[in-house]
Amino acid sequence: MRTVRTVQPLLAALVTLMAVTPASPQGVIKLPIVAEITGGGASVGAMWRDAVNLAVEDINKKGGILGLKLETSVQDTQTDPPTSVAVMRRVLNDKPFAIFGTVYSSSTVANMDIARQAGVPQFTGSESIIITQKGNDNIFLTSFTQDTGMAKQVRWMLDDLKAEKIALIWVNNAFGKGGHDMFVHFLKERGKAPVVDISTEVQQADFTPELTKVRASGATHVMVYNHEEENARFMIQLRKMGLAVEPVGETTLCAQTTITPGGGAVNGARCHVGLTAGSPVPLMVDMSRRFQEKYNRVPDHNAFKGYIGVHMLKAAVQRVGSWDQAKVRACLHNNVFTTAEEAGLLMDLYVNEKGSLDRPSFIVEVKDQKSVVTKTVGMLGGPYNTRPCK
Amino acid sequence: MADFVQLSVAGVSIGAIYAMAAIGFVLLWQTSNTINFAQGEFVVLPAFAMVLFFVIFRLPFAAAMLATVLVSTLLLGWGVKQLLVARLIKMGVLPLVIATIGLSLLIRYSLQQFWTPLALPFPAIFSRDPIRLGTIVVSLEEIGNILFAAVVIGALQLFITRTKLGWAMQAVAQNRMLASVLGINVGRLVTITFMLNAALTAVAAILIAPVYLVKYDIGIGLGLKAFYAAIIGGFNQIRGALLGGLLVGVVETLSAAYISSHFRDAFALVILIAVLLLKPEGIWGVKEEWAS
Amino acid sequence: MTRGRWGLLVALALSVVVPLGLDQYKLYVVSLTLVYVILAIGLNLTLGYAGQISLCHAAFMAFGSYAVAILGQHGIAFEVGLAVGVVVAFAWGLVLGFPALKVKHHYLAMVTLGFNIIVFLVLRNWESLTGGSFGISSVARPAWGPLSFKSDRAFYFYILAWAAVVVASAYWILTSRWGRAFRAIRENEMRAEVVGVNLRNYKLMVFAIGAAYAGTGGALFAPLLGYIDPGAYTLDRSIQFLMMVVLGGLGRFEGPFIGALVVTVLPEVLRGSEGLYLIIYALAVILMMLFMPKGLVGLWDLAWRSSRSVTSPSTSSASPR
Repeated sequence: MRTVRTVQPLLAALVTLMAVTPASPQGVIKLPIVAEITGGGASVGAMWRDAVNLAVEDINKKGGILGLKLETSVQDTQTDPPTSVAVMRRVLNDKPFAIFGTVYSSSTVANMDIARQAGVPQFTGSESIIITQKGNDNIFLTSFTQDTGMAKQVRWMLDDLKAEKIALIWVNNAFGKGGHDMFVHFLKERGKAPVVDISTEVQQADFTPELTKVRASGATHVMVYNHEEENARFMIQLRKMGLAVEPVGETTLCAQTTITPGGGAVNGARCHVGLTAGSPVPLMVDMSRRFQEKYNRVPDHNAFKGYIGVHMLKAAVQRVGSWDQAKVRACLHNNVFTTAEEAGLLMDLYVNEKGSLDRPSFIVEVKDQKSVVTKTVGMLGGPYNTRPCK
Repeated sequence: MADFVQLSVAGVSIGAIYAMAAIGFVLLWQTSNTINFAQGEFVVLPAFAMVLFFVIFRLPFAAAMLATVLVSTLLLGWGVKQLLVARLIKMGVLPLVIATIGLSLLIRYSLQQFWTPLALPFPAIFSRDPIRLGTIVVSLEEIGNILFAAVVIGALQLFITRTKLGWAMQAVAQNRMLASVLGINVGRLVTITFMLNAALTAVAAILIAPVYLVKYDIGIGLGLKAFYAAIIGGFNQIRGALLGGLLVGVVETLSAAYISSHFRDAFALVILIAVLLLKPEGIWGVKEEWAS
Repeated sequence: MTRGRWGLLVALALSVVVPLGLDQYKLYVVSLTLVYVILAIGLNLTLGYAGQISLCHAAFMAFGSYAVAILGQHGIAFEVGLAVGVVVAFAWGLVLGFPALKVKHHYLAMVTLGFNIIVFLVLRNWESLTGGSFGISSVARPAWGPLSFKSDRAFYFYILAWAAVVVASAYWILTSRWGRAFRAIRENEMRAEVVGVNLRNYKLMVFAIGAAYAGTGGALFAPLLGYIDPGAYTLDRSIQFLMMVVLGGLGRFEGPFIGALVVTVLPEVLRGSEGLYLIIYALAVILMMLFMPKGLVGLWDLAWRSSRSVTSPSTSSASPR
C-alpha cells in the first residue's frame, strides 16, 4: 500500500538518524562563552572568544581537567545588556559548570546576578569597579578592577614619570567614568588633582576642544582614557596640533587596536598595562605565538584575559580536587595561584575577596608602531598567602 | 581669543563634512520625499571602498577616487533607487523610512561581519604638519577639507541653478505632479538625484576617512548630524544644508570647550528644537508648498 | 464574536497557560515581549492611529523605569513608583504635544528625536539621581505584603495583568469618540478641524496617553531586567519601537502584538547563525517593507479573511499623511 511504502523509508531514516546522532557525551564539562560578537563590542568579544577557545583546545590536548574534557559554545549578546540577560538565561538552561563572559561592564552588571542565582561561576573580562561593588561572590575578574589598576597608574605617573601637571581625558560611559573616578581618587590621596578634566563621547571624531584646553592649561602629561578608535583620533589630532604634552595611558592607549588606525601618531605614548602582546614573559610570548598561528592576528589584552580565565578555573578545580561549583568558588577568593602549578595562568596572580585580581603589570612605550615593554611592575599589595582548597 | 579661532577653524572644517552629507540628504527629500536614514552608511560604504581601491589595490589616488565614486553612484544611487525607492515611494513616507533604517543596519552589520569590526587607518590626503600662525595651529587638512567641500558645493549650486537638469530638479522639488505634467520624466530625475547623492557622499567619505578613520559604525553619528544640519539650515535649499552643517560643526566644538563637555551632543539639539519651533523650514529655508 | 475579540481571547488563554511550562529563558523572552507589546501599543496610538511621528518613546519608557528604580531604592512600593513614572511620562507627553501642534511629520520626528537624546544625556549626567553611567541595579520587584512577585513566573503574571489593563484601556479609547477623532486627524487634519474636531486637545492627549503607556512599559521593564542604565533608552530603542509598530501594522489593533513578537523573538530564533542574524534581520526588515508595507498584519488578515472588525479602520492606508 502507498502509506507503507512512504512510511518504511521514513522509519529507516529516523532510525539511522537516531543511531548517528551521538548521545550527549557523559564526561564533558560545558563552558559556554557569552560575549559581544556583534554590536559596539564586536572586536573585544571576538578576542575573548578566540582566546577561550584556544585555552580549551590547549587543555583538551593535554587530557582535560581531572580526566574530563571541556566543551565550549558561543552566544552573542549584541553588546546589549537586556540581550545579554536573555542569553545568560538561555545558556544556564544547559547546566554548564562555568560561564566565560561578558566583557562589557554594563552587560556584566546586568547578567551577573542570574549566574549567581544559578550558582554557576562566572569569569568576566570586565574591569569596571561597579562589578566588585555589588557583593557578588560568584563573579571572577580576569584583570585588575579600576581601583587596583588606577592605583598602580597613579603611583607610576607620580613616582616614575614625576608628572607635575596632569590633564585627564576620559570617555563618558561606565568604563570611562569608573576609571576617571578612581584616577582622581588616587591623585587626591597624593594631594593632587588633574589640571584639566574633560569627558568625551563614544564615537567622537573631533578633539579640538579637548586639545585646546590641554594646551591652555600648561599640562605636562595628558592621561588618555578612551576606547581604541577615539584614542587613535585623539593622538592623530594631538600630533597635528603640535602639542608638547606627554601622552600617557592605560591599556587601551597603547593597544594594537589603537596603534593600527592611529599609525605613527601613537609613537611615543607610554602606558601602564596589565597585559600586553609585547610582554617579555616567556609564557605570554608562547601563548601569543600560538594565538597568531591559529587566528592570524596578534592577541590583545582581552584575549589574554580570556585565556587566563579558563586556566584560573583549571587551577581552582585542580586544587579543590573535584568538580564542585561551591568549593571552586570558595577557592577563588583570597588565594594565590602561581604559574608553577598552572602554566596557563601566564603570570602569578592573587584573587581577592571580591573576585578581582592583583598581579604584576607592565610599563610599555609605543615605538615604531609597536608596544614595547620597558619595565615590569610588581603586585600592588601582598605578600599574600596561598590557601589549600580541599 | 586664539583658542576661539582655533576652535572655530576646527568647527568649520568638521562642519564642511557634515554639510556634504546634509546636502545629499536634502536633495533626496526634495525630489522624492525620502528621509534617508541610511545617509550615514552611504558615507561609510564608499569609505571602505576607498580603502579597497587605494590601500589594498594600491591604485593611484585619483583613480581610486574615481572608482569609489562610480561604485557608490551605481550601488547606492541607481541600485537603491531601483530596488527600494521605486516600489516604496507610492506608499507614503513611513515604509520608506523603515526600509532605509533596515538598509542602514544591513550595510553596517555586513561591513562589521564580512570585513572587520576594527577601525582601519586611512592615509591623510592633505599634509598634517602643524602650521603655526601665532598661537593658532592649523594643518593643511583643515584647510583642504574646507576648500574641497566649498568647491564641490559651489559646483553643485551652479549645476542646480544653471543647467537644464538642475532646473528640472528644482521643478520636481517644488511640485512633482506639475513637473510631470510639464513633461519632466520624474522617475528618471529621481534616479539622477539618488546618483548625485551617492556621488556626494562618496566625496564626503574621502574627506572624512582620514579624520574619522574607517569603521563600520561611524555612519550613526554622521547621519544624525546630517539631519540636524539639513533641518537647522533649511531643508529645501542647498545653501541651507551648507549653513546648517557649518553651524552644527561650530556649535558643537565651541560649546564643548566653553560650556560643558558632558552635554556636548545637546547644544546642536537645542538649536535644532528652537529652529523647529520658531522657523520649521530652517534658517535659510523657504516654507514648503501645500501640494507637495 | 468578531475576529478581533476571538484573537484577544485566544491570546489571553495562551498567555496564561503556556508560560506554566516554560523554562526561565523562554519565560524571560515572553515577559520581555509583553513589556514591548505595552510600549508598542502606546506608540501605535500616537503614530498609527493619530499619525503623529514620535521618535522619543524610549525617553517616556525611561521615566517609568527610573521612577520605579529610584523610588524602590528608598523602599517605596512598586505601584507607587509606577504611578509616578506614568504621571511624569504623561506630563512630558503633553509637553511634546505642543510642538506637535505647530509642526508635522519629519519636523515632529526631529523634535522628538532631539528630546530623546537630551533625556539620555540628562540621565547619564545627573549622577546623584540616576546613578549616571553606572545605572541602578537590584531593582525590586513588586510585593504585596507577604505575597511577592519576585519569582520569574509570578512576575510574568504581574506583567500580564498590567498588559491586560493596557490592552483593555486602549480598546476602550479607540472605540470611543476619541478613537474616531484620532483617526480623523490622521486622515486629513484640515477636514477634521472643519468637521469640528478640537485638534489641539486631541493631539495633546494622544501624545500624553501614548507616553503614559510607554511609562507603564518602562516601569515593568526595570524589575524584569533587574538593572537599568541610560544606554537602554537611546534613540536606537525608540527606533526599535518604531520598527515594531510599522512591521506589525500601523493603526491596526493587532499590529503591536505582531510587531513586538517579531522584533523580540526573531533575533532569538535566528541566534544559531552567530553574528549573521543581525544581517538576516535587517534583510528581513527591508523585504517586509517591500512586500508587505502595511505590516505583517496583512498575513493575519489573510488568515482570517472575514469581514473587518470594529477596531480597524476601513479605508486606511499605512501612510500617516
